[in-house]
Amino acid sequence: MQVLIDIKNLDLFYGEFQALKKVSMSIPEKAITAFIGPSGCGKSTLLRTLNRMNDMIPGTRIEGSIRVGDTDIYGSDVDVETLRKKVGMVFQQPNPFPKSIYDNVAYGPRLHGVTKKHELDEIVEKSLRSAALWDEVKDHLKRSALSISGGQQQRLCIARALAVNPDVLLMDEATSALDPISTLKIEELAQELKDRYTIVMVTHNMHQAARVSNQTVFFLNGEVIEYADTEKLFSNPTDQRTEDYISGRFG
Amino acid sequence: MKPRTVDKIATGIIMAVAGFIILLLAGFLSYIIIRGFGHISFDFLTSPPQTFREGGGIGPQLFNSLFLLVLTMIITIPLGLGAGIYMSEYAKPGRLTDFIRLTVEVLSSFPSIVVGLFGLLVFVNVFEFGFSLFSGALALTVFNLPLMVRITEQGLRSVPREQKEASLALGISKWKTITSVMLPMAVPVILTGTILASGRVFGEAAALLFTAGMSSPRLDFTNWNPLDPTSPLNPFRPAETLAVHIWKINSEGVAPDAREIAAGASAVLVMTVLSFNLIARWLGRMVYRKFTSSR
Repeated sequence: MQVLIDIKNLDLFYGEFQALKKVSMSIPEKAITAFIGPSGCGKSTLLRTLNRMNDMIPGTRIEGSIRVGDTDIYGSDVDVETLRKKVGMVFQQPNPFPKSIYDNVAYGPRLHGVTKKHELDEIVEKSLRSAALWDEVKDHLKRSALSISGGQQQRLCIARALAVNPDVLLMDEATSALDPISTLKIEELAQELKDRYTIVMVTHNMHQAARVSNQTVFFLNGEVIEYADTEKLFSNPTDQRTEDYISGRFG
Repeated sequence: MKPRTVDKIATGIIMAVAGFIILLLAGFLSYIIIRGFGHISFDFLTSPPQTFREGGGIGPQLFNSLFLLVLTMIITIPLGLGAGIYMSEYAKPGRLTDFIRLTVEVLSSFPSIVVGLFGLLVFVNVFEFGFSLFSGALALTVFNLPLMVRITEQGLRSVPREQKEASLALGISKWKTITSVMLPMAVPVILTGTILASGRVFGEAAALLFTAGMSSPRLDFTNWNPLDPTSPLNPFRPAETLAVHIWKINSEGVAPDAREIAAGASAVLVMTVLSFNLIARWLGRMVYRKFTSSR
């Protein structure tokens, strides 16, 4: 499989605290990679370095390199906005804008310069279809995005991210605020999307990682303990700590 | 004592204090309005004041107050928005930001008479704007700016971080995120705050005594050329506002009905400010509903 994201010797500090220690990994394209590990292990931090959302936290310092495709994303000539267009993100809490369903999806393309109504219509429909939400909302696109259910809102957020045409979709515990049925829908959606997008997901839920992902990375205290095909990691882990974690002995 | 008894006593005291405040407010309002209301008529609201004879009105003063308010807001809102956006979104925590914040706090605690004297010194004399609406508007800006900055800052901070992140994560620049997601969501807070600040401006007298002046030239309400000295729209003419007029007739009014005029003018002033408050609440709620498209 082709590698899309290549992380080498990444150290990340929040002030004095080192949140990531010498992290190296290669994330293949058009597959789902899951980050698991106990709270505070650095999995979300790593995810947020991939679209540089950590830039907003004052006192963050980074050493090492991350390449997405051909670009060193922490290089001096990198335009963060272009990067974030390529590396979309879905958050833990569904966070649609207090606008209509249509305007939520059209927001990104509009501000990136798409003005023609029929082009926007097309993008909105395509994105909502990709997010498996079209059939549920196509008759009331003008309705407030806050009026639909939490699970639908989260799929709307996925549609909103897809509307700017990314290569990578980062999902930061995107189902942890949802009920089991909505969670299942998002998992199925992720399975469909991986044919076209590279998905990296952080999850608290080991079963989810086991169900959905192709590769799993196990983190502990800012270090990568084990990185393997999901099947292998869950059935036959190499490291004792991985085995302890997945068998529920801690975390 | 039992916790329940303590709880009851505390609740009782708080209720009594709240009741006292409401009574005080109701007393003030009804006193001013009852005393002045009978004097308010269309004629009173539109005719010019009389110095010695009975039957003077407050027309020019009312107009001056409203016009001055508009002028002040034209200057204050852009400055306040700019500074507020800077303080909330761009200022990095540190000495400079702390210093700016301290300056804003100090500015907001200045007595308005001091702001008025500052205006006399700087705007009226140094910049030679004279006793004019423009000098008054600048003085009121000094007086109002801290409030406006704080309101904007508060409004932007009330926008959930998730909303901001959602926009940034789509590759939208910080500035566009501010203008297209954060400001619209902050508008209800900013709007409400601005209207409340307007109420303060409308009722302000001390800062205007030495800046906008205590006289109003003969105004020709058919002349709408802003450069003409008799035009009501000329910002460089002296202009006595309603609040200043009340102060003046109360202290040196010689017309036989000075007391009634003061009472009527006070009632008009109080009712205007009160309606600003009500409009602010209503508009804030309506805009909030519109922007969050909730019913």
